[in-house]
Amino acid sequence: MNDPILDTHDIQGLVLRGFGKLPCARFLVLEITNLDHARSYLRAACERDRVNRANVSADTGLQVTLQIAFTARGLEELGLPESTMVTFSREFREGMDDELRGVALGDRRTREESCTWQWGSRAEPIHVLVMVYAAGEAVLEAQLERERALLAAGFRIRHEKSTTPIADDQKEHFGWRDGISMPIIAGVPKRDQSNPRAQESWTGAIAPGEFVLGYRNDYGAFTESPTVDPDDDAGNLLPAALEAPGKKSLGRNGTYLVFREMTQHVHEMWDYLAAQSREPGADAAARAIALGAKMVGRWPSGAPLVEAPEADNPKRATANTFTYGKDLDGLACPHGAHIRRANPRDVLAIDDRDAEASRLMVRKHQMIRRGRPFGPRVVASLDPREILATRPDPERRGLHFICLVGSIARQFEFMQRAWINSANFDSLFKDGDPIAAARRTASDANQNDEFTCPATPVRRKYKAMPAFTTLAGGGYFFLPGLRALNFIAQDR
Amino acid sequence: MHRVNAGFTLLAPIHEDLVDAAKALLRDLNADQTRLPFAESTTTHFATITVIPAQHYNDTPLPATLLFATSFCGPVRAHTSEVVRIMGAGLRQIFAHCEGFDAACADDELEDWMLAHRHGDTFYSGMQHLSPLDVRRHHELRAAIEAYLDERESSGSASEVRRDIQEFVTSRSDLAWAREPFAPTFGAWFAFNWRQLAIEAAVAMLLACTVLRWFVASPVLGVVVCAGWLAVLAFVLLVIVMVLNIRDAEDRQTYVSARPSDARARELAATQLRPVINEFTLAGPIKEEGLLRPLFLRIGLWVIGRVFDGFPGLPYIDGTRIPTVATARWIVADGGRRVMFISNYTNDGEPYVRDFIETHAGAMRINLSFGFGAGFPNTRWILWRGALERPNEYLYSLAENQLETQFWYGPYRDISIDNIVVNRRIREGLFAEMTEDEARAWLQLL
Repeated sequence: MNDPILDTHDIQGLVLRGFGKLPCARFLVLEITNLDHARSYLRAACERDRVNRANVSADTGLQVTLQIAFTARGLEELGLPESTMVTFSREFREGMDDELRGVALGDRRTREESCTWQWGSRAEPIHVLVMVYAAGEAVLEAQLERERALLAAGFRIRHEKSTTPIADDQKEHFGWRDGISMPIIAGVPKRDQSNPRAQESWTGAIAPGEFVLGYRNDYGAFTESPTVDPDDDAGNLLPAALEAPGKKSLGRNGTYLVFREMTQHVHEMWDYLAAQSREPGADAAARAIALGAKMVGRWPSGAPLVEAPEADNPKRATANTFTYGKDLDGLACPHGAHIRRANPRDVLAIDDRDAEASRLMVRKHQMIRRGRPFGPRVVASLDPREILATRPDPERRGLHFICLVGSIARQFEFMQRAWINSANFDSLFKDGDPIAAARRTASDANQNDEFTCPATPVRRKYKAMPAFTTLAGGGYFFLPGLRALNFIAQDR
Repeated sequence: MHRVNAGFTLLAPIHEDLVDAAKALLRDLNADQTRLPFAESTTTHFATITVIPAQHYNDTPLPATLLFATSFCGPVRAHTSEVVRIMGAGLRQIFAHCEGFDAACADDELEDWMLAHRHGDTFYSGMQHLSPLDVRRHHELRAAIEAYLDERESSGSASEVRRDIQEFVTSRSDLAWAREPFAPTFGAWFAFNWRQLAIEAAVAMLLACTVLRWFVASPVLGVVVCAGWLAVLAFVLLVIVMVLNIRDAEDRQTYVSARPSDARARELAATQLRPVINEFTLAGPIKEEGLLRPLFLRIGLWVIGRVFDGFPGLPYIDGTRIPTVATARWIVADGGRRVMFISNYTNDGEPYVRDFIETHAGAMRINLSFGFGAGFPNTRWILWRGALERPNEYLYSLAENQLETQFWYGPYRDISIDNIVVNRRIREGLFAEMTEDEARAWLQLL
């Protein structure tokens, strides 16, 4: 089956690019206070091309742009009919802070436990997410001034989520290079492919429906996608729904956006690594870095352990075609390492480790990640040795984890539950993801706070790991195509 | 006594007016499992007890039925007599809701009643030849060895480290059992393989007689060969007729399950929140189109059962391992008009059932083994289309047919089936003869 060509003119730019040329960003979390003014703001954003389209590259001198997404509650507030709302996925409609979902994702221990997030709980009226990207701080601040003025009539800004300008080193706060392994979307017109190096992926190009609604997914079928009764689209703004004859497609060229504000406990992590590491190394810092590399699966430069098992090799910093078939024992990259969980590549433990079966399965659980860091770096260089030399400070820092998926349940939630949080992933017993799992200690059911580092003659076991990351808030959003955005903004 | 794993499946119609009472009782027993203490059973891995509601196949009513299904090890008589001894009172309470059951019966009558209502199934076990005690002990053994290793910095060759571990285990009187032989005995091997051996013997005999017929002019041999090949031909013709009948039915199928309501989806999701091993039960009528579908279903599931077990000496059919499944079974009930499926598995609901359709081969296997259920999307030639092309509808059909399991006993809540397999390999290898390379590989299990 030939991949259809994506309609990049109608897709918000974030789907295809992380706006690396627009390093400064602020995320405005909004509540609608006046429906008419809110709709006017959204219509104006469409009409004046303030929202970047995927066919307009940031290389064209773009200085500032918006991306706009909605919660289910926001779409209801904007008057989408019930017959349309029910066509969104259940997980989107129920939200991330649902008591059942919270337990499944590890965000809460029991259904009865109350939400402790700083924002994004069900009690909070969050409707719209406006993401402002800019080429520099001054441009960003100026744009934010304008946005605040434009938003004032229709919205209350409940939170402004600031970000740290992304740097050329692409490092996250723990000191590792981030964002190396990214899925390639099939069907992107050549002119809109921003990163030729991204073609070097082990999984190969993945069907567009895995990430963009209204297209066929990796099963060759259509992912569930929101639709509209033709009678509710009097202005004929929406295209026909290919997957639902007789309906209009609200989902086409849109995607779901998962936003999780993760606090990174940088000093807690490095203190643990320094105190506990029994990995080989010339000095204490080298041993701590070696253990950190085992936990991540890459050295701080980004070099994967399966290609650089003994020492960091910055020349392999962006390697992304490696597999684990020759490291079944995990002696180079531990089975429980973060990158081996998030993308098991050829060794997903099924079908007797058939590499092709594993590849097909892994492709169905990929996510486009568009996160941005927040909070000051511990040290400007984010060199682990320098981080280790610092004292804890009161600053809060972390990652606004943002991912784009066609199916929240099959992609984000599956990965979080079955691969990241699971204590029993790949025959392990008490090991959750050392970096990203919601930690469960010995007093909890299904403890997951250990890390097993395969070695000869026997493994080294690290126990009682504190949480290196914790969830501060977030939500599930729908990032519509431009036509759908215009439809949502109409008076009704 | 062998430890061959099998399914004990009991089906018994429930008095119409006692259906709600049976459900209520089972929920109560589930909440307080000391009243039905499977935990004291030495033969039970898992137990599912639930009420299958009254359903319809065409115009034929399918009665409300009690499903009592255990995954057990050892001879069936040993299992039934044990559960009757341990929880006879609770069982009588449950079976009192069934037609024709005398709640005042003696223990031996209760056991006879259970055996009389035993129903055939196609059973898979990922923990074959293990007893519940084995599973628990293996887990304790691994934990003890892990704790031993955690207390010291191991060095030296793999064989030396392994020898230290052997000495440690030998020094522990509470682990004395770990030094005893563990591999299944010939009796256990035969008890597990006798069906496959019978098939292999029949095929080998037919081939041998056919060859012999060229050299020996014996009328008896001629009759045997003729009858054998006629039987083969009849079976092949039957399969062709059944497949053609189903092919015709596939195009006539009109009903496909729709997306479940939010309330239904939440209800199902709430049953799948255990962190490691979960259970689910499906039950529903088969597709209405295709007169020969019930027969094909029975034959097909019987063949699947044999493939699961594997054929000794045939490397390409040497048994199936499903990494996420502890035990599973299909039950063809009501004259082939209704099918039930029970699985005790690692993971939670939707990821588990999705796992099987993420490859083409997997989706085809699902079409073969689930494609006969009402609501399953239309297949083509049994293996094609269906879940391959309509994964969403496949999931909807499972959601439509999934039932509340009113009582579930599952003792291995913190360990996955993968963990059970690894623990077993640790036990098997602990005192086995090994080369340095083998010792190194064995140590990586810890």
